[in-house]
Amino acid sequence: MTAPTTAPPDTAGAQTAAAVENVLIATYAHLAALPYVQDLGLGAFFAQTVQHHNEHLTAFNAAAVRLGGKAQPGLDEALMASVVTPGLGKVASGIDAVMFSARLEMIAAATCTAQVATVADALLRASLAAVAGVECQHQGVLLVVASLLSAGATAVTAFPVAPARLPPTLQGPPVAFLRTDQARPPTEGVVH
Amino acid sequence: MTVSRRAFLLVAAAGAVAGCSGGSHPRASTTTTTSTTAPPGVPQPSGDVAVAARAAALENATAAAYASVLGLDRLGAVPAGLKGLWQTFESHHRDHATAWNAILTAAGEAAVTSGDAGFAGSVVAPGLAAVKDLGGAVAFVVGIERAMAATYLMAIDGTLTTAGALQTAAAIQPMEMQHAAMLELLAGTDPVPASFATTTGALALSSS
Repeated sequence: MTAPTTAPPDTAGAQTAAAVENVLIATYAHLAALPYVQDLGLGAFFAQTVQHHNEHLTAFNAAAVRLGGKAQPGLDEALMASVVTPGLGKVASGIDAVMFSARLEMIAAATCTAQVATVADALLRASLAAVAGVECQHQGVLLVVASLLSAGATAVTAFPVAPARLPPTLQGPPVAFLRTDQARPPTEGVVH
Repeated sequence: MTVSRRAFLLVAAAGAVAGCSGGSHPRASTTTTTSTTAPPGVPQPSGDVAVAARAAALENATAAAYASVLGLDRLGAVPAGLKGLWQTFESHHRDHATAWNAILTAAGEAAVTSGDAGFAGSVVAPGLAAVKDLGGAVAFVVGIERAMAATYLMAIDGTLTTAGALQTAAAIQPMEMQHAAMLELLAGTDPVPASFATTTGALALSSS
């Protein structure tokens, strides 16, 4: 006989979402310092994206505290160990960096989306859903940039992107549904 | 660019937009035409099932809007990359409709195979008529994607109660936002204008 499963407390979910945001903030800082990333012309986009993630972090930590838990100041160490550290080790070009960023955005979005139907707190649910969409916007921009780079562009400095520059096959490619199979477990970033 | 996002939203506001609070905003267009239309005296679906029916109809209408844009002769030759993007997004919306129809049929309801007539008549048709060039076409579908995303967020925030419907809406809403962002890169508007998604511009969730 197995014990009945129970959903983790909402504080754990909020802390895990915060821990994932911390990972993205740290990773963007690392990538932005790479010379071949600086050459891409994405400085303003990266800065705006990091600002978004900082605001997501603030929202999730506020939720954790409001729900009786502690704020999560640290990284999701399991995500760092299993994805980020080995992934960064393989980044060797601008397009590598962009695609790796897109992957992390998808993981962040999936982590939020996986919890939408499981958390009890309505405000936290609203925050998770509101953040997941923005992470997917980030990912969408990155997939277009990666597509341009794969088509021979060396930098993406001209906005709007002329439709004629868009290659017939997009990197990614974009999918119809946000899958949650790469979501981080909701207790992974819990603060004890 | 012929049709700005503001112009699109003004058209939408005159039509089917419910507003973010869901309480005091007018719902000028709440009529849908779907295959689930019941004869007098037969109860209409309610709750999550009603939202599923509405969502399927809106997705069908959105897919049809992409098909219409792809067929506009006045756009001239559409670059292959953009054409592929529109075709991909059209297929996504058909997939979304299929997902909602799975919820409907599991609940014993008929699948919704037609587009939402109110949305098509008040938003899609006038928006499509106003499209004069490629830039206008991109802005037109961006407006639809943003309205769809806002509608799903409103459903998640305050309407849906069952896990299956919540999961479906939560898996679709981010992709509508991604569609919009990718298109906004081509339109020249900010692809990620805010840190959090909002319900501004959401469509009414149920017909009445």
